[in-house]
Amino acid sequence: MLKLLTGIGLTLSMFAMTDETRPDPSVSVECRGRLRHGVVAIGGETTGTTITFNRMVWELQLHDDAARQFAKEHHKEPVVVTGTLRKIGGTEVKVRWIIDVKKLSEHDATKDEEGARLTMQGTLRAADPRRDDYPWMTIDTDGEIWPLDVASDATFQVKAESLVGQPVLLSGNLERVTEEEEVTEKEASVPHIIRVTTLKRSANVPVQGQSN
Amino acid sequence: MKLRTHRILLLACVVLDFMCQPLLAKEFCLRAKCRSEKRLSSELVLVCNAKSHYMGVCRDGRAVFEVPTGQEQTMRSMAASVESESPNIEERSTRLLISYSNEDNKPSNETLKAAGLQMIQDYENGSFLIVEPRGAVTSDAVEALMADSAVAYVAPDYIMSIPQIEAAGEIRPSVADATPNDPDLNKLWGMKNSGATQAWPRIHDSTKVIVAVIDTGVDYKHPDLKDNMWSRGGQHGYDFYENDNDPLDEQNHGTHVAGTIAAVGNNGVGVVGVNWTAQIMALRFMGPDGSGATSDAVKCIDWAVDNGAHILCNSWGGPDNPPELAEAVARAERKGVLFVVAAGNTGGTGNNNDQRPSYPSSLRSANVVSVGAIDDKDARGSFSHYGKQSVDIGAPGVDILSTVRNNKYDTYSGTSMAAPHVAGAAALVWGNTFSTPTPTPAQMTKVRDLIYENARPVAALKDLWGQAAPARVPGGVLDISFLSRSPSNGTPPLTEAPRLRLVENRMIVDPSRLR
Repeated sequence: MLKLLTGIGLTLSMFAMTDETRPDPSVSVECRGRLRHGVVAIGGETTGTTITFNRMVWELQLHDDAARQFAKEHHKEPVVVTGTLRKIGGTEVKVRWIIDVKKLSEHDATKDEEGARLTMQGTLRAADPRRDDYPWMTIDTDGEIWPLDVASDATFQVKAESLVGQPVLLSGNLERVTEEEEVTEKEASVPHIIRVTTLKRSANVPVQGQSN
Repeated sequence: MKLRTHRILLLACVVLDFMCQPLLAKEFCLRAKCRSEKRLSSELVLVCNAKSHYMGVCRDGRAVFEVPTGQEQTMRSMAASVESESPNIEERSTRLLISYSNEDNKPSNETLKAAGLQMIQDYENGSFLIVEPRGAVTSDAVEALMADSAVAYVAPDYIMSIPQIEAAGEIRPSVADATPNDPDLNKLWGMKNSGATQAWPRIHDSTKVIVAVIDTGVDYKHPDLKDNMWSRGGQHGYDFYENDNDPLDEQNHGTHVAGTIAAVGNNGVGVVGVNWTAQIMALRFMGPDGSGATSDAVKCIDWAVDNGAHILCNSWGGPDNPPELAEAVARAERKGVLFVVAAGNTGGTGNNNDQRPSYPSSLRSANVVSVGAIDDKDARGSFSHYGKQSVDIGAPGVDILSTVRNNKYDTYSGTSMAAPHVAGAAALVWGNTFSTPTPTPAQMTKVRDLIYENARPVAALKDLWGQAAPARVPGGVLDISFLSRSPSNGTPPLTEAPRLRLVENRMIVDPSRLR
C-alpha cells in the first residue's frame, strides 16, 4: 500500500514537475538510498538524518513527527525520499545539501538501484572550451551551477545547443564526477553531473534565490 | 590482634614499596632521609646489625634507616638521592616511629628521655610511638633505644607526599619564561582573551590531567601534538568509526580541537595550546565528512571515562536527543568527568537552544558545560548558538588558528573552537587546584565552578547565556587569569584529604630498582 501511494505520489510529483509553470523551488528530487537517523556532526551542523546513495550523503529535513518516527524506525534501511533540494553554507561543514522532505517511504533495493533523479528549471549555459577541468554544458539555477551531460545521443545534443542561453526545464540522473571511494569535504562541495534525460524550453526562470 | 594488624601494615608497606617503586620515584618525594652519600659515611652510624637488618641513624638524629643485610648499596643509593630530591633538610620530617612488641611492653618514658626523644603520640592501632627528638640524637642514645627489649625497631616517620612543585601544576616558570617561543603565538588571540597568557607565568602544564577529544580523531603524529598525546601501550585512544585502535584524524577537525587544548608549548614550533603540556586522548567516531553516529559517540564517552579521562571535549552535536546519549553523559557525571560541549552553529544567525535544543549541548547534567563562541571583540560569533538557560559560557571561537593534519595549521571558526578553550582551561584549573587531579564528582564540581565563577561578564552577552545554575555569570566569557594569582593571594591548591602521612616503617628496597 505504501509503495502504491509512493508510486502515485511520485507520478503526480513528476507530472507536476514537467509542467512549464512549475512553481519554486527550482530543484526537485526523488532519491533512493539508505537512511541514517541519529546522526551528529561537527559543530552540530546537521539535521540529524541523512540519506546515502552512490557514496553521496544528503541531509534530510523532516518536518513532522510522523516522518521523524519513520526515520527512527528505518535507520540503516533503504528508503525513497521526495522533496526539494537546497544547498547551504555552514560554518564548519562548509557545504550542506539538504532535502526538505515531502514524502518518505520504504524502498525495495532489489528492484531499483540507489540514485537520485533531479528536475530543475534554469538557464542553460554552453560549455566553456577554455576550461579543461569543467568541459560541460551547465544549467544555472537558484544560484547553483550544475554540470550537464547531454551527449546521450547526437540529436539530444543538438537540441541542447539550440537552447543555450534560454530558460529550460530538465530532468536527469545525478552521478558523481569523482569515482574515489572516500568523499572528502572538498569533493562533497563539487557539483555532481546530471545525465540529462528530458529537456525542454521553459516559459520562465524562477527568481534567483539566496542559496543560504 | 594488634600485632597482626601491625604486621599487615608492614607487609603492605613492603609490597607497596616493591611494586610501586618506579611510580613512587616519580610521583612522590620521599623525605626525611639522610643528607647525602658523602655525609652518609661520616654521619651515619650503624648501630645494630640485628639479624637480617642494618639499622642506622644519622648523627643529627633526623633520620633512621633500616636496611636488609647485604643491601648496603641500597642505603647508599637512598642517601645519594636525598640531595637532589630534598636539599632543604628543614623540610624533612624530624619525627621517628618506635615500634613496640606489644601493648604491655612499651618503651618507657625514661628510655625515650635518655635517647633525647619526646612522645608525640602513642598510636596503639599500629603499635608504635611517634616521637620527636629534643635535640641531636647521639649514637649512644640510639644504641640505648635499640637495646630496650620493648623496641621492635625504629624508623623515620616518612612524609610521602606529592612534591609541592607538582601539586601546583609542575613547573612554575619565572615571568621571563612565561612567554612561549611558539612562532605563531601572536596570532592566538584566544589565549589572551581567555586569560591563559596571564595564567602562564604561574602555571601552564597539566601533565596529570587527561582530556579526551571525542571528534574526528587526532593527528597524533603532528609535531605540535605528539608529545602531549595520552598513550598506553603505544595506543593514543580508540577509533569507533572504524572499530580499531588507531584514532588518526582523516578530516582535520579533531586535530584542530586538540591543538587549542594542548599544542605543545615553548617548543619553537607553530602554536601553543591553553596547556603547554597535557594528555590528549583521541576518540574518533566521525569520518572524513565530519559526521558520525550517536551510538558511536556514546561508545567514545564510555571508553574515555573508563580509561581515566578527566575532561571530555565534544565539538559536535545534532537535533536528536536519544536516551542513550543522556545516559552516557550521566554516567560520566557520576564518575566525576567534566563534559565540555560546543553549543552548536547555525550559519548566519545562530540559534536559541532554549527554544530549539541541540544535543548533547542542551543536556542538563551537572557535568555539562555548554560553550558559545565569541570573537576578538567579545561579540557573539554570528553563527553561535545561544540560550539563557541552556548555554553556560562563551569562549573564543572566531578565526582560531590551530593544528591540522600533516604538520599544518589552519584558521577555523565555530563553537567547536570555543569548546576546546574551555576544556583546556578546565585542565589547567584541575591540575592547579588539586594536588592529585582525579575524576571525582567533588573535584569535577570544583573545577566547573571555578570556571563559572571566574567568568568575565560581558554586558552585550548577558541575555545570551549563563543565566541558569550552575553557571554563575550572565554573559560570562572564559577567563582563567585568576590562576595567575599565587596560592598565598588566592585559592591555595586543594587536596581532598590532609597531606598523606604514610607510616613507612621498613625501608626494604630492591637495590636493582634503584640503580
